[in-house]
Amino acid sequence: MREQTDGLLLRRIAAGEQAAFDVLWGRHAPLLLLRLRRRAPQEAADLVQETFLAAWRNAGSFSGEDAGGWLWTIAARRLIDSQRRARVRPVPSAAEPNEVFRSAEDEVLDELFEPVLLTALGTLSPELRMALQATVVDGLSTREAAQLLGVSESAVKSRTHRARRLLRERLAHPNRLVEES
Amino acid sequence: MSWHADPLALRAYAAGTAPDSVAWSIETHLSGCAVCRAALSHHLAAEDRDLLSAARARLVLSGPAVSAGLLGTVGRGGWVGRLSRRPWPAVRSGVLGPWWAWAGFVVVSSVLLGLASLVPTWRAAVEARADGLVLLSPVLPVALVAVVYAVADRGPVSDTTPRGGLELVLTRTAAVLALTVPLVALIRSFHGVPAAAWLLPGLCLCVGSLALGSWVGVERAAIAVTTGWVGVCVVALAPLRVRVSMEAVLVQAPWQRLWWILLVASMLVVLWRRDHFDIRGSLQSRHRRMSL
Repeated sequence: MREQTDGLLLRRIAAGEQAAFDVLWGRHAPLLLLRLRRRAPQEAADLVQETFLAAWRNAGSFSGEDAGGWLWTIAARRLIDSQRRARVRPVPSAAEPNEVFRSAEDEVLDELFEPVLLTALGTLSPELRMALQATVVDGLSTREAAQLLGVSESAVKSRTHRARRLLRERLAHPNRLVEES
Repeated sequence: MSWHADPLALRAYAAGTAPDSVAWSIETHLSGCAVCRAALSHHLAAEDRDLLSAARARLVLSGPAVSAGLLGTVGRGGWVGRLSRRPWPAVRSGVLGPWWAWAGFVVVSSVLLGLASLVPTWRAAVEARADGLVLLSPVLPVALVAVVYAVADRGPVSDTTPRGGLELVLTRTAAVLALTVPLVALIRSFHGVPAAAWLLPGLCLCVGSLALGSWVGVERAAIAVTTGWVGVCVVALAPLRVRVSMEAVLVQAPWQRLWWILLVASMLVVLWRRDHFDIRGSLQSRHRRMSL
């Protein structure tokens, strides 16, 4: 079963095979947990559960080889709902996640991975970075990104646009500080 | 794919210390790369491993999750299933199901209702039996809700659309009402029966199905309510000694008061259990059942 494609696993899950579900979980749950945690630290584990329950219920509707994209599509929508819920009924959350401790190894990492891009991204305001992440990395539509971030659709569009422009300028002229308009 | 993520980057990502520029390329790449996903699991921290295995155990122990609707299981292999099956990008659309189901419904129901009022013998029979169409009209929207759920939920729609819980349920019901109320009102007016007669009972049965649906699923609830109402009508029309006038049930004042009470009660139930239309609600109730 280890060598089977996700598509085959999901067909077996649809047929009620729990072993297939366990294999699929092993393949995809770690990435989903880490990815969701970067976006919703408190709720990541719950969201992974919800995503897999939805996948389990709807296993029969998947047709394809690799379920990574499909699972993320489900997870992103569960994430949108949970963020909206959090805005409507705010839960007193624990303290903000601590400033992440950066080891010497991470400093090496910074050197290794295009320090220019790193600095450029680092100089973007969190609002611009979130807009870019939601639309470009997470593959959400403008409407979904607006729901996720709790801002209007036009705000998402202008932020994404501004973020792209700033990034382009800073990558072209890494040493010149561009006025953020 | 020949490019694979750097082990150092994967380790930083697993530890949550990777900066955005690194994390973004990892996330984009790993969505489609099984090799790197497997590598990432090796870097997962021990406490995250425990967290995940506990989560998996909870999910699996609370029983098989498969809850394909009643009509869904019947139609899955059939022509309905074949026609409406789409690859997964269809997740984005399909809140109300494929257009052809709606077009088909409107045509078929208009033809049927039109025929019913035109065929003289049938018309006579219908009028003699206290106008069966009036009796069935309150349950028409509910029946249609069942159809929408059966047809539209072929893909992972209600589980995976944002606003997929109560909002989706209400959107669908509102769409059904917007379609059926004018249609039935038009047809009723040919018969000279005020459309208002069935509006309140119709709304009541509709909201009642939603309330019931928060326990058993909207599709099942709608089927149950439809069957129940048709059963009541059949019994009431049967040539028994004690006959309840169903027209009175629909229109007369004491009954109207009962309909109002039922309507408000159902609305309160829907509000109270609003989280249970969502996948999160069903997870929570599964966990509660387990811990009992």
